[in-house]
Amino acid sequence: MIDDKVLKIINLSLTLENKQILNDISFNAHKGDLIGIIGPNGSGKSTLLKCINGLIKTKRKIKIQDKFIEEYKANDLAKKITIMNQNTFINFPFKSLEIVLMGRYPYIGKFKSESEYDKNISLESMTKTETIAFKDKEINHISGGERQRILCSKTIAQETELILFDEPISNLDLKYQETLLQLFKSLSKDNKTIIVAIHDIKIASKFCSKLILLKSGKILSKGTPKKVLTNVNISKAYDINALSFTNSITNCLDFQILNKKQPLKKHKLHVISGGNSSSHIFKLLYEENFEVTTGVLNIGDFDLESADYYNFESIVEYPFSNISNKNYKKNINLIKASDITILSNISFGFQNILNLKACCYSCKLVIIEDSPPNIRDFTKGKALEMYSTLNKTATITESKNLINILNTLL
Amino acid sequence: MISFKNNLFSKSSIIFIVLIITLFILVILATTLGTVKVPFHQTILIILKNLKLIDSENIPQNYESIIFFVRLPRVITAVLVGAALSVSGAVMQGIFRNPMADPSVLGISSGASLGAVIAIALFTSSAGIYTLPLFASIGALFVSVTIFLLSLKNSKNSTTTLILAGISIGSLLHSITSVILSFVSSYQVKEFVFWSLGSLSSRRWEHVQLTFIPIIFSILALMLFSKDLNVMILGDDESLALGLKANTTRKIMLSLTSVATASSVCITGNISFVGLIIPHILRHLIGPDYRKLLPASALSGAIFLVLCDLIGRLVSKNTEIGVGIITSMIGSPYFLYLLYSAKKDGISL
Repeated sequence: MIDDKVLKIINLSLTLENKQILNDISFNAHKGDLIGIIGPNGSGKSTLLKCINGLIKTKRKIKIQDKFIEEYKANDLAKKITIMNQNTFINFPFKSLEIVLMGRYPYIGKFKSESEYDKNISLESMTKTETIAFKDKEINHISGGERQRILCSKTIAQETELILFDEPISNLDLKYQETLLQLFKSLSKDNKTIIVAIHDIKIASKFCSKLILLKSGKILSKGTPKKVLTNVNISKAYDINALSFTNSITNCLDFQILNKKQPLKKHKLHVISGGNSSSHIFKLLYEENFEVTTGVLNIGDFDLESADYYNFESIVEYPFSNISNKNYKKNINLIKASDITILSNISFGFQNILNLKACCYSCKLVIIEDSPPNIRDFTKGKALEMYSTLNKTATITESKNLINILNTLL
Repeated sequence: MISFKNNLFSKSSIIFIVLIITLFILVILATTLGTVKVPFHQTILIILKNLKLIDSENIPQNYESIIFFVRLPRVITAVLVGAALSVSGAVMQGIFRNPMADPSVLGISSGASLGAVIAIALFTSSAGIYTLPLFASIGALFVSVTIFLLSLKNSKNSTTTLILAGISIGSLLHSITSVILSFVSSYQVKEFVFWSLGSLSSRRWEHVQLTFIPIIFSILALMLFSKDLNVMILGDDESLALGLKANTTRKIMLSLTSVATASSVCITGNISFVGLIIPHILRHLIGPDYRKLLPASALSGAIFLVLCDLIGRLVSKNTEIGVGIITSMIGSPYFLYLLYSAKKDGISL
């Protein structure tokens, strides 16, 4: 196998003013990698990038193509690697194109001026970031987002194999966030190595081939987005309660922050769900930190997928099949074991009528009625009959009042 | 537009041609005009004669001494000092990434004044001619280094902090200068006025001789760094990413500007605001690219100072107003205007 390692970082630690900023960082980057560095504020993302580019001095820790960065001459290093810093302010009325042309500085001799080639490369990279329209505008008279894209063009015009971007999209609108990341991806396909520190983990997971998750200067996890962006990792890194899931519409990783209350509530709840009726109820119960079980759900039902993400125990039936006797009994057992059973706003067919029947075994029943039951009955009245019997002993509520009702009942 | 050798008739080359012609005409004009009226053609003849280009006998002796020994050295001094201050200002603005920087605003001129006054106090006047520029340079460099160190602490690169630091250092040095002057020569009040306000009156060829080489050398040397200055505008991290060690370059440039400023101050005293006004106007005319800005600043600074001196000489028949007073009268309102319009130009105050 050809060794196409472009960057090698070996046990990098950094202490500045008695504060440990980076702690034992090691990773490699190969040709064509698009690596995202993610992590909370102050986790060391910018510092790490600055070390890689040699803006912060390190000793025998960082190798670019088998040579330590401090062994390169400043000018030679600038032909291998560059960085787009954040917060670059320019107080002078340079035209945008002049700024981009500065990216060619390492290639231009001391007493020479820019060649046609330098100019073409600069214009080309401005086309890529869609900034060509304001090439003659002064850099201090354009918006923050436009300036960011100009600086990005300058960085690309430097034509280095390794490019570091420090939060390149922080000022950009949705369209240009996407444009720039697409651009990074196409650069990586041209065998460039891109490392980008980024806050938006959704975008990072969509475009990056590898992610490095930092927390207090340490690598918490590295690898493919799927491997790194687990509930546990994100929750630990950002000190939040994160829910990471594959969005079934886009097939991309998606994230949600949940406000899970502490401590765990002792009460057990069982939810009779199905047919996309219960995801929002699961979320409410999860945030209240109840112990929840659910069933019986057919494979392919979105409620099942959702219950899996919240890590709720569920009883699973084959797709499009009636509830088997075995699962019916399991359901009853869970209902008996729970303090309250919640009957969601589900539709009733012959397939799931046993779920309704099982409700009779509950000690306390809460029925959610967001829409009238008669329009949800597809059993020619049979289910409705059972429903009205249950109705007499149960507490009926709309889903938005569920938590209040539960609190009064418990 | 980018390389102006390709298009001779571009906007910037026209500006350069105009500047060179203006400077030339102005030098002749400033030499001709004055309380003693000398005909214009005589002036040209005298200059040409002294350049040994023509051999003319029929020039009145008194004309020749006025033109060649009184006015011409004074005008040449103005050219040198104007160019030096203006280029120093432009370079300092780049070094500090701050369009408000200038040798007088940052107190560097005051440092040079103090150095010069110390030299006067310590040595006899005959030794003064060589020790003066040396001491002035040391004074200027001392303030430059102080300001530089302060700017390192001031990581946000705030204009206000830098200017306030410059002003307070400047006034401190100014008061020390006053104290020394009052001890050394209480009878010479005029001396103090010279150091604090700056004047070109009775500058002779020896003054030109003294500063010609350091000023021309430092201006040319600074021009070699034009491309580096462009990059340094982006900040130290960006410069390093482009392969330029900004800190090293900055130290060299700061020394060169100190030499240029000190050479100017030790023959003319403290002339303010030239380095602020000229580069600022030029940035709007030909753009901020230092490869054009520095030569244009040198030419325009020279024009500006010759013109200010001419105004000071002609405005009153009985006395003359020091050139430093004229530049301050133009410069202070302009500085205020800059401060007020800074926000609009996206300058972080």
